[in-house]
Amino acid sequence: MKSFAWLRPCLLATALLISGLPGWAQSPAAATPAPPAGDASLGVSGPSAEDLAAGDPSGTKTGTANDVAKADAAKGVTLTDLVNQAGQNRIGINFTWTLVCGFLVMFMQAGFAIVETGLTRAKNANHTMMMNFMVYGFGLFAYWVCGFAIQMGSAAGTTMLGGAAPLNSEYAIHFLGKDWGLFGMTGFFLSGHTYDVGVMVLFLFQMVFMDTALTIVTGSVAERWKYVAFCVSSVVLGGLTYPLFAHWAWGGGWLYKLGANFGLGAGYADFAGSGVVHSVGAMTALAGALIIGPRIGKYNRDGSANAIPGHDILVVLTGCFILAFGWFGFNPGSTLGASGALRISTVAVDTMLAGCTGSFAAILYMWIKYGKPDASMAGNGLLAGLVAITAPSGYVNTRDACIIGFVGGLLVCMSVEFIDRVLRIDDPVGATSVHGAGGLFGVLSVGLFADGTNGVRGLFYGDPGQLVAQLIGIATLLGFVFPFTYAVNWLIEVIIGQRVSAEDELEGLDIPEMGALCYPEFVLKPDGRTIGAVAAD
Amino acid sequence: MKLVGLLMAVVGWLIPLIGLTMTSNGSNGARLTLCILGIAISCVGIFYVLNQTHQKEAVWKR
Repeated sequence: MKSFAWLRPCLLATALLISGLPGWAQSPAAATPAPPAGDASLGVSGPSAEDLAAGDPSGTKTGTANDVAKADAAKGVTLTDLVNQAGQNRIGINFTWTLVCGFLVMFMQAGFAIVETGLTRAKNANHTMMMNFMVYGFGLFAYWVCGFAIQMGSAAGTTMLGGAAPLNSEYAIHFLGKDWGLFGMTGFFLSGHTYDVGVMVLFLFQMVFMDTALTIVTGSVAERWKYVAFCVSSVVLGGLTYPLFAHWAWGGGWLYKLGANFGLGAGYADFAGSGVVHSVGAMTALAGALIIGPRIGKYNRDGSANAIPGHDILVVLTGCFILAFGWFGFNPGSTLGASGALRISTVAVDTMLAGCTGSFAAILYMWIKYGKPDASMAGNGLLAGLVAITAPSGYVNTRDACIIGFVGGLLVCMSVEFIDRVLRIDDPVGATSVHGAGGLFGVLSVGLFADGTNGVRGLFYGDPGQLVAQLIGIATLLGFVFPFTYAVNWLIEVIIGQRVSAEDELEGLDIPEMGALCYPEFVLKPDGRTIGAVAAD
Repeated sequence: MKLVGLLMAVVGWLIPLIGLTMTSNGSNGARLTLCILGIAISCVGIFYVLNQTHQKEAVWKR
């Protein structure tokens, strides 16, 4: 023990620095005082009541020893008080950061809503907007009931948020000599011991991520999805499908442990959810689009595709800006804290660069191929760049972030054409391409570009094992998530039906499904494909 | 045929997964090959077999 005696004055000095006591820090350090016991008063005090009553225009009298929480006011500030205050400050900073980032991600719902609505026809605007509006509530409720428990029920050890110790139970099977964590088992209804401040922060942040996945689906099946089918499908996705994969990747499940169990790098790494959020949403979007089928008028009898333009490019691009803004919560917030995670700056810069190069790649592609810089594809390119950088944003440098974003932007253009013209799957907003192609490429790019700075090293930096882990993640998305979500939506199709009637579709879904037009003063053209911006009277 | 497409997708997932347990920790080349094979099978199942089945009953063919 004697050899560690020097630690105590160091600890004291560190605690004082953290707690922000400038007066103390400026005092001469000629003679090191004997370290006080943890519960002994340090004999420090802040400004007097009279000083404070005079006001503090320069800010030097606010945030002093007076503001350190004391266990015993009569005794004054003790070492234990200081250390506790430092811990509170760290966790407080992390709570604040994570919550604010969560609020930003929540606002992305507004971005998704207007992007999707703008890319669809005016006769369906109310219906599309209402799906995006209510998916928030349906998803939140299902996630509170069971989704969060399935996903994060064994997430104890989240040190950035104080440990989240009540989340301590997982169902795992022992198979082929290894434990395979399948789902968490604590936190249903956020009841019992999960009535905990750290768990609440984790819940809010994870919930808005889940809702992002749900809102992807509403785009691919827009303009023909029966509202009641949308309600049921969203609840299942938010309460079961998404949480299952999210547990495997983020909640300590078997994908997360591929590194420990099979020596594959750091295990499946998906920093902010190219796979967990965007690809899971895209798999469901693809399943929905397949089951429901294309819109009437989208394809001719010879199989050639007709363009069905959206009704408001203004709101589409405004929505893209809102999403790009929200992404600063999505990616940097995934550190779950700022204190002890200063890489938030790198993550934020990676994010903005990838979005920029994504939109650049998309307009370049469209300009070269079609002679014009297409506005909606520029928006989709921005989003695809952001989706692609979501998984690797915590692990790559800025040069690689630019490459990842650029490739994401190119991929979305090619994918939209391929899905639309070759596969003949009708996806009105390109959700499957933006979130599927972009998302899967994002997962892959961790295995290629991760530079090892933050514990994950990809193929280009010397670890092929990480690439294998990422490919297993992609195989799981295609081979488990897609069939699962397809089966769920097929069941909904059989039981209640997914598609509206042809008459309702031709008329537009605003009146038949919602009971009100989004734009009552406008006259819709009889062919139902475009809006005539003509005043009714 | 829809079931065949879905089964192909699932098989494509199981191939790299079972391959993990049958290969030693250092054999990344074999694992990489199995992953690519599995993903390819899943893609064929979803985008070709399953999609073709849906295309047969597409609204624009009626």
